[in-house]
Amino acid sequence: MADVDVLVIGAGVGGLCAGALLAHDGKKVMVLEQADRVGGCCSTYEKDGFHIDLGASIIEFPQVISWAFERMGTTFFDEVDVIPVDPTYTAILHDGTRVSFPIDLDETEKVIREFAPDQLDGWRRYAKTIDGFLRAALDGFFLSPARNTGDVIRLFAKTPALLKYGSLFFSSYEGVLRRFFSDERLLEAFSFQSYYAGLPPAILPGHFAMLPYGEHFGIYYARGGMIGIPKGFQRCGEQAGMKVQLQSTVDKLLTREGRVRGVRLQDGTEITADLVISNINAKKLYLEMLDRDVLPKRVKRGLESYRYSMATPMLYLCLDEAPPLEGHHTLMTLPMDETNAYWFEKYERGHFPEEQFGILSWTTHSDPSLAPEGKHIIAVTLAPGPYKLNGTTWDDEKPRLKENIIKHLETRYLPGLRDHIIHADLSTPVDFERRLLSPEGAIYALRQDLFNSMVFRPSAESRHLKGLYLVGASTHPGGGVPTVTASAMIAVDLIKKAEQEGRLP
Amino acid sequence: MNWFFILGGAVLVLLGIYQMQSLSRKRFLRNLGSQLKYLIARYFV
Repeated sequence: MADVDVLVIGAGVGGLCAGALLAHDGKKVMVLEQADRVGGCCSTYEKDGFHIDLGASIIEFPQVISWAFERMGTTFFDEVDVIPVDPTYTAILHDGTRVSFPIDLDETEKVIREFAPDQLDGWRRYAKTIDGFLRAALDGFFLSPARNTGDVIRLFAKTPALLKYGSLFFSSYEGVLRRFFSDERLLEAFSFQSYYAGLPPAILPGHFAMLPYGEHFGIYYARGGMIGIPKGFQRCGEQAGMKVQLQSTVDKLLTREGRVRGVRLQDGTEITADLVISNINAKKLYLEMLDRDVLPKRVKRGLESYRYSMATPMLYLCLDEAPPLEGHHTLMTLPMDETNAYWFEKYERGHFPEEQFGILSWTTHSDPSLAPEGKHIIAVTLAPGPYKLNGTTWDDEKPRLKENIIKHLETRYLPGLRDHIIHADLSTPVDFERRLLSPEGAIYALRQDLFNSMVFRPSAESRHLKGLYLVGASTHPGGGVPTVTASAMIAVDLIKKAEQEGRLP
Repeated sequence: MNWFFILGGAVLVLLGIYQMQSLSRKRFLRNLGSQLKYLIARYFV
C-alpha cells in the first residue's frame, strides 16, 4: 500500500490547487516543495520589514481562480483578501507621454477619445471582438484538456462560438492589434502586454491580443503580497487534510512497469503514491528525473525540441518615500516595432541593455502594510533576459547592470530615485533558476507560441506513465496564475474520469 | 463532422495569416517554420 494517495511535486499555484481539490475529494495528499515557502513565481519574501513579491504582481481573470475555490465550497474573494487595482495600468511611452486606462470601459473610451480620437472606432471594434472571444474562451477554452486532436475538436464543438474567433489563433498579437489600430502611440501602449505571455508581438499567437482588454474584467492584488493566493489554496487543502512539506527536493520519479509509484527525495527518502502530480517544468521532469529507458526516443526528441520560455530579470527597490507614479502598474514602453526588434536583435543574440523597458509595480500603492510606515516598494519587471549572455555571465554583469539600470530609471522615469533607495536587489535569470529550480529561470516553463500550445504542449495526463499528471505552466493552457489554476482543474477532472473508467488504482 | 472542422480550421489558418501585415507575417511564419520538424514528436509528449 502506498504512503499517500497523491504526491504533488511543487507547491506553486497549480500544485496547491490540484492538491487541495483532491484532498477535498477525500484523498490523502502530500505536497513537496523545494523552497522554504509556497507559491513558486507567485510568492512574496520578507526583508527588513519589506514584503517583496518575487514575480507575479497582479492577477487577471479572477473568475477562473474562483471556479477552483467554488469546487471546494468557497470563493476566491472569501479565501484571499484582494484589493482591486484601478487604473489597469499607466503607460509611459518612449516620448514621455503618460496615459492611464481605467478599469471602467466607458472611462477608458473617454481616455482613447482624448488620446487618439481617430482610433475610437477601432477601439470599439476591438472591444466588441475581444469581449465576444473572451466570453467564449472563458466558457470552453480554459477548462478543456487539449491532449490530442479529439480533445481540440470536442473543445470547439462544445464552444462553437470560439470558431468565429478561430483566425485569432493563427495570426500574431501584432497582426490582431493592427487590424483595429493604426496609431503607433496607441499600439505602443498595448504592445508590452505580449510579454505577459512571454513572446514579442510579432510571434505571440493573436488570441493573446485579448490581454489589454481582458484587464478590464478586473485585476487584483493580494493584501500582504501575492503569496496570499497560493496560501489560500494551501489553507483550503490543509483543512481537508492535505500536508505541505517544505524544503523537500524531489530527485527522481519512481516507476514500475509503465506506472508511476512515487518519488525519491534528494536525501534518499522514498515516498510512494498511487498518483503523482508534477507542478515543475515538464522538460526537466521527463528528461532529468526519469530513468533513461522509460520514454520512447520519439518522445525524448519532442521534449528536447521545446525551448524554455523567457526569463525576466527583476529589480526589487525598497524606498524611503512614495515614487512619482500614478498607480499600482506602470508600463515603460517602446514602440511596437522596437518591442519586436528587442527580441530579435538583443534577446536572441544574448544581449541585455541597461536602457530598459518593462513594468514598475508599486505594490505599496495598493497595500501600504507591505512596508514599514512611510516606506515603499517597487518591483521592476525588466525586459526578457537571455539566459546566456553573449561574452559574459549574469554573475559578472550583475553589479554593473544594477547600477546602470537604476541610473536609467532615475533619468527616464523616477527622478531622484538613487537618493531614496533603502535597498535594491537585482534578480537575474540565473538567480531565478537557483531560487526556484526553474531551468534557465523560465517564468512560463516553455514558450507559448502556436507550436508549443494545446496538443503540442506536454499533455496534462502522461501518455507514457500511468498515474502521472501535469499541472502548471508546462501544460495546457500555459503560464499565468489563472491559467495554471485552470490546468489544476483540468488534471483533477482527468483523474476523476480515469478513476471512473477503472484506469487508476 | 471531422472534415468540417479540418476544412474550417484550414480556412481559419489562411484567413489569420492573410490578415497580418507583411513584416509581422514573415516573422510569425519564420518562427513557426523553424519548429515544423518537431511537431509530430511534440504531439506525443
